[in-house]
Amino acid sequence: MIEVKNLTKKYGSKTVLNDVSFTINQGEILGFLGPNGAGKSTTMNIMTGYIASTSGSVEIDGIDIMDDAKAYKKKIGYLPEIPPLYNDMTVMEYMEFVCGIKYADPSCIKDILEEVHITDVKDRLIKNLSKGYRQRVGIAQALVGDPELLILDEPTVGLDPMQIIDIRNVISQLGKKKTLFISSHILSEISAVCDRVIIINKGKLIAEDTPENLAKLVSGKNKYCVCIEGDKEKIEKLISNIQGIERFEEKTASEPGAFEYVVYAQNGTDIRKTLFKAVAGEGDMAILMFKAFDITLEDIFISLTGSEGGEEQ
Amino acid sequence: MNAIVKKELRVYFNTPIAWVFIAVLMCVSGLFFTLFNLFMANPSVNVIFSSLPLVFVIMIPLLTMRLFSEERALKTDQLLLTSPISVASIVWGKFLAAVMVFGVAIVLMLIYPIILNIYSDVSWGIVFTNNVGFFLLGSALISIGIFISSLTENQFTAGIITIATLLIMFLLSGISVSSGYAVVDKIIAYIGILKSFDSFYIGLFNVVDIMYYVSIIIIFIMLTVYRIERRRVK
Repeated sequence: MIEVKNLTKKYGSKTVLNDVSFTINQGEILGFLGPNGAGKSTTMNIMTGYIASTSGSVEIDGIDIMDDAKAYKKKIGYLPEIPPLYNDMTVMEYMEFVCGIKYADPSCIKDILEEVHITDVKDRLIKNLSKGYRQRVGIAQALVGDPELLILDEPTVGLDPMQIIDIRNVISQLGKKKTLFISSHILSEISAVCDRVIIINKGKLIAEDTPENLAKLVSGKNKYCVCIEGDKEKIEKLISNIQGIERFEEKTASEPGAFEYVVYAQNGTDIRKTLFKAVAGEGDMAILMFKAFDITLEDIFISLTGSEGGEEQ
Repeated sequence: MNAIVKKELRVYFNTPIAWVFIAVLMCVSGLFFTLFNLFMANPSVNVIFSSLPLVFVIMIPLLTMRLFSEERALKTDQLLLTSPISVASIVWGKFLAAVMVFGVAIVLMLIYPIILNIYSDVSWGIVFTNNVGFFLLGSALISIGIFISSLTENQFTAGIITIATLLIMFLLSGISVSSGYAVVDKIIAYIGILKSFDSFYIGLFNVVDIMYYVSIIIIFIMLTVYRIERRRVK
């Protein structure tokens, strides 16, 4: 449905996107993952027609933006990282304005406001709305004109946890009806809603897979956090003798008389049972806490690139 | 384009911009009317029009400086430029809204000849040509201001550059340059934007002068469209 072919964007001698190609299938929720400055917003801005690429093309249902910009743009709804809102308008006035510039029938506004749950604030000035509501108004404007593809650039950034859950629910509901392309620099954010993920780093695509498969890439490099009560010397001797443990680091313990460690398992080894049984076998020791570290975007980057992801200037 | 015009008119009249613009023009023109018409018992209204263009140097930037610079600064240009509406429609929409606010001031200024007509015979032909000339001159200046607004995302920078540009264009209207190069002389004569107002002032409709202002409008609107499109590619 949406085909991005060999996108390259250069600012002077600096290449911010380098030969990026991918497709988005109809009805799919595709996640776009990468650290800040990786080229996510640039890709999205090119796909929506805000900026032009240096080379490459984007087609939606066979329509290239260069051939028929109006028809192309009608198929896309875009929520940029900063929602493009006019603070001195009420939500209703803003939506009517958006209908005007998108050549959409204003009768659609009522349904859209209900869909993103902002009907109750429709007569309030946008500048008086909370960040969560502003984000919803941003999503509402993207829905005007019933576009096939919704492009959402970091839709939950800067929101508090309750607002994040709210926006995630709205996105999940939209995903049942629309094709979505969502960017984020947080893996858990993407894996919560997306069918498939593409990862970009320093302007280049480095992976394209399901969230589960990407997690498998780093599954052999599990690390665990364990808090054990007992004699420090004995605990450390015990851990270092367990087979499958590559190394461990001491952390600051949160409880008196207990010691906390980050334990790194060797590739492909599940050390959970062994460690548990070893500690249980010692009468004067007790596990107070034992948890696996979440797989982070950083872990995937290290796994894919062999180096820290980090921010690009 | 209607959506853009409506939105801009809403901004003009929901904020002090349009009210201040109209109030200042009315105050200054009212002062000229009182001094030169009422106190001097002069029925000729074009003395008001001859003095007012200088007020434009300050007032036109008030109308135009935020039109594109603010959109860029607030990132709302992302909404405009990713919508199916064309860049040309956006620019024309903003231009028309500014011209409408200017038009309101022109219509309100008709109060002066109406008052004069009570006490003497007013030459309505001259009133008409002056109003049309005034409107064309103002529209041309607005198109220049809009272009300058598209160059920067700081509206105050846009405002100051517009004031400086209009001032130069006004100053060049009063001098006749003889540089020895015909092309240079013609360019300087073209930049002197007030020269073409003279025919309207004395009650004439000169096609060349009308076309001059229309050409300025079209050139600067096209330059604005080009500038915005160009920025997308850069």
